[in-house]
Amino acid sequence: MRTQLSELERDALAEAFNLALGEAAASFADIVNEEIRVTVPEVEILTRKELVQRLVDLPTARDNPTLCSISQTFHSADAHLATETLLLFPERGGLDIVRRMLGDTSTPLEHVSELEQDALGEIGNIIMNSCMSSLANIFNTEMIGTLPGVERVTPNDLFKQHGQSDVVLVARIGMSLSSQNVTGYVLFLMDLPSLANVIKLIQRFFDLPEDDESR
Amino acid sequence: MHHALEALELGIIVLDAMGRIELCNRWVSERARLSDTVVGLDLAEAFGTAIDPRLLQATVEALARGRSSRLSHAFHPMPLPLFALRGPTTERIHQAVDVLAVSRGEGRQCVLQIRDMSETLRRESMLKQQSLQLAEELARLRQTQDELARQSLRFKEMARLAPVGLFETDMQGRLTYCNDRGLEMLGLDGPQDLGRNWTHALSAAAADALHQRWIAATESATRLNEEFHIARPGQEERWLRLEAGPIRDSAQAPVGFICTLMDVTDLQQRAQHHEYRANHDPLTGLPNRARFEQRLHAALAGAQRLDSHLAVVYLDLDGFKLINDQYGHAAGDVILQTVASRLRKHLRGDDMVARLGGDEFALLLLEAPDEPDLDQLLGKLSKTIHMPINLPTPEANVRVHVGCSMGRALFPEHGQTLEDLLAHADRAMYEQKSAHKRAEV
Repeated sequence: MRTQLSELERDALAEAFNLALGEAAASFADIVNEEIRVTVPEVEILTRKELVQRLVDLPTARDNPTLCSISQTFHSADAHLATETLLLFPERGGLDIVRRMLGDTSTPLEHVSELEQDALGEIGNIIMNSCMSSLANIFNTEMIGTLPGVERVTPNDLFKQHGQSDVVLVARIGMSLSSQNVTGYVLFLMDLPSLANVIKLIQRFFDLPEDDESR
Repeated sequence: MHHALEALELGIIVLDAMGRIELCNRWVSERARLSDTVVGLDLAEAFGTAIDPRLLQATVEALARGRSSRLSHAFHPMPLPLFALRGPTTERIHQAVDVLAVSRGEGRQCVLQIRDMSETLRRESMLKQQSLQLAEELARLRQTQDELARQSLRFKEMARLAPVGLFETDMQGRLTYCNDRGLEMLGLDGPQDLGRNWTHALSAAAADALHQRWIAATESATRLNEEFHIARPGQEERWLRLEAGPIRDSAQAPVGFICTLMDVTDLQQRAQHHEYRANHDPLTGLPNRARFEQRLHAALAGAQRLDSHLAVVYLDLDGFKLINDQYGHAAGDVILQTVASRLRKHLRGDDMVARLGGDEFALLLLEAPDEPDLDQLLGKLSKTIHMPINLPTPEANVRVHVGCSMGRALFPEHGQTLEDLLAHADRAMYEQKSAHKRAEV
């Protein structure tokens, strides 16, 4: 059961996400008057440990390790595929972007307010819906999603509530708004058989060489 | 419709697969001021065209692709035309709408959840205002802190450079601060002396005396001005002047003292010097007339009380004027100084020789010997005055002689009062002087 992506497969997936994220950028443009760019520079499959390390290594993590987490669950119409998606980025960065988008730069509050939390939910919802529409294409099935839930977490606490599988499909994501840049990660949590299945679907979609079944 | 939906404090609209309203609860219809049922209409038909396009788009996506969307209040303040229950229809209420995609068997449905955000908005606005106020106060506090830090630095520099000692104590006199100069003046070492009484290095007697005065000052919370001396090992004695004033807290209660110390040794010395000069003849160093009379007055009081004797002798130099004229004032000075020192040498400690002025001297002899001894003493003095005196002239080895005339007055025989005794001695002296003059001729 393969749980790794080849370089070709990773690049193909990243490109698919990027295409879909053009849609997200357009949605943002409707909301605010500034140009917001959202890109996926890289896609990989990481172990939980590796992922946590990446999060701990984020540039802003030293001063403030808290992450903002926006989560949605998706399942295919026939319920054969299910994944929990998480969008993670540093709380501070998220706060800066949201406040910038709301045109509110004067608030000295260090924490996200209720209204700002809702706004973050919308931002995450737009991004994750876009990514999922790529995957829906690849899976050739509709993926039905839930509403976003917003939380604050630290990297080490991340998998306490989620994740059964030891490996995770991860897309690194960058958001930039004027001079503000935030780096985050979109995670697709699913069990191993689902992941193996997804990889097969990816290979098929992009016409990439499939593995020998017997391996 | 299920009665629970009607009881919700939340707006619910359910759209069927074609986007037509299947259900719209009371919460929504009340606020949308709907007169007729809207079941079967699509959103635009039911609510008019003034709906946030993003909301319409979200419903389409939910039904077509199963996507759920959140329309946060922050980005979409009032997507639907909903109004407050009691109030004008000019302003929409603040809303947040969630669009949920739901599978229903083979088909799809879309549920809209609408929340009234007015209360949340109000709460957050208040919090924001409060936090802004706090931030301002914090900024002001920081400014004050900075100013304080600057002042403290200024003070430290001044305290370091000032030629006075500066220290602070609690009400008991224990040091809470002392500048370097102060430590040096008080004979203290440094940081380890904080907490000790500031008089720690003074002599026990001085410390005690100051302690008494200190207590009096603390009780009345008044200023303290004291002079005291301190002798540090290996150094000469210094005189210090202390000025202390109470420090008060915000309730005006005294909590300690702030003190300055000045080294007044020089001032003291000068004062002593002036006093000396006021009472002594500068040329010979002998006590002057004022001092002589002062001593005589006191000695008389003592002699009267103790029923003892004393003698006063007036002494005038003979031929002094001639030598002065012949050899000059410098020579005259030398003669006077020589006579003064000769007289001093021949008298006992308690007796006094004074210069009254010109070539006039006076002696106060306590424990007056009886007449024969007195005669002997005066004879000796006369002889010693007669001895040659070397003069500082350009010619080498000029030696002169002076004589003297003396007049004595004994207490109590020749008078009881100062005036009487002096008069008697004066008369006696003139008699002898006249006798000498007559003898010369």
